[in-house]
Amino acid sequence: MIKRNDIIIIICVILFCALSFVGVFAFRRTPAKVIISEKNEVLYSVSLYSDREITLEHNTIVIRGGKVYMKSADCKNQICVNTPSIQKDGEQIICLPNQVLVEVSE
Amino acid sequence: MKTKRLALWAILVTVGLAFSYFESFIPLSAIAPGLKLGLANSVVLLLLNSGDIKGAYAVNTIRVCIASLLFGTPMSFAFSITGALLSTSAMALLSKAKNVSPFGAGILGGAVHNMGQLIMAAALFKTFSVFSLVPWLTLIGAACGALTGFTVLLLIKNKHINNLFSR
Repeated sequence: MIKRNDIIIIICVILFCALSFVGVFAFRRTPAKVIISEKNEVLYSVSLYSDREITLEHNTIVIRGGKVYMKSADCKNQICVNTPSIQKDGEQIICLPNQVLVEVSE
Repeated sequence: MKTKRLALWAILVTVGLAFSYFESFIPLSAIAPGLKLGLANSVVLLLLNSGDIKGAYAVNTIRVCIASLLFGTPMSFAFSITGALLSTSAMALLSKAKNVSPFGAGILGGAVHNMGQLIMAAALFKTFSVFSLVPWLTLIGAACGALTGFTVLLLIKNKHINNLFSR
């Protein structure tokens, strides 16, 4: 005979399945990369989802929470530092004086 | 330990092995590699139903070892033993709980078995990406567990089977 708590177990297992389905689909990301190059030379190619701070000769780049921004640069105009953070495929941050290019690529 | 109990365990190991062999003819591997029905689980459920937790562990461990030697690889042994130990533990806990029949225990056992295999896979391959299979494997495990659990429900209605397992 099937007993009362069997039903509870079945409900729990179904709930767990449903939740994990939702979880798997919610967290499925395309493995986007951040490509950092200086003077036309690729220095870093790292995951967009690995939080870190990368320091180059003249620039500091921060990758955090799937977004990338230029934290600091020693150039005069500071255009790259003022560029909003990027996260979508093809978006770029460029520091012309130091010839640094930060690009998101899927 | 009673000789009768020891003999029963030995018979059940053999029955479990026969199930393992029989399962290798059911082409579930076409759906996913290594997918099995887990019929041998019914032996464990029967033992737990009679309150023999020690026997359930002993029979399942020995069965997995022999089945891996006969039909498996070191890799498949690693997966089988983690799944077997985890599911036996889950079902043993449920056998102590109130208002739980072998049907419910089988469902949880099947689900937990596959979770154990995934944890082993993550450890062996050093990647978390295998956990994206969690919902599928839980569902399949629970379904197979429901099948064996239901079989056991039918079996324990039989007087002779109950006599065989009674202590």
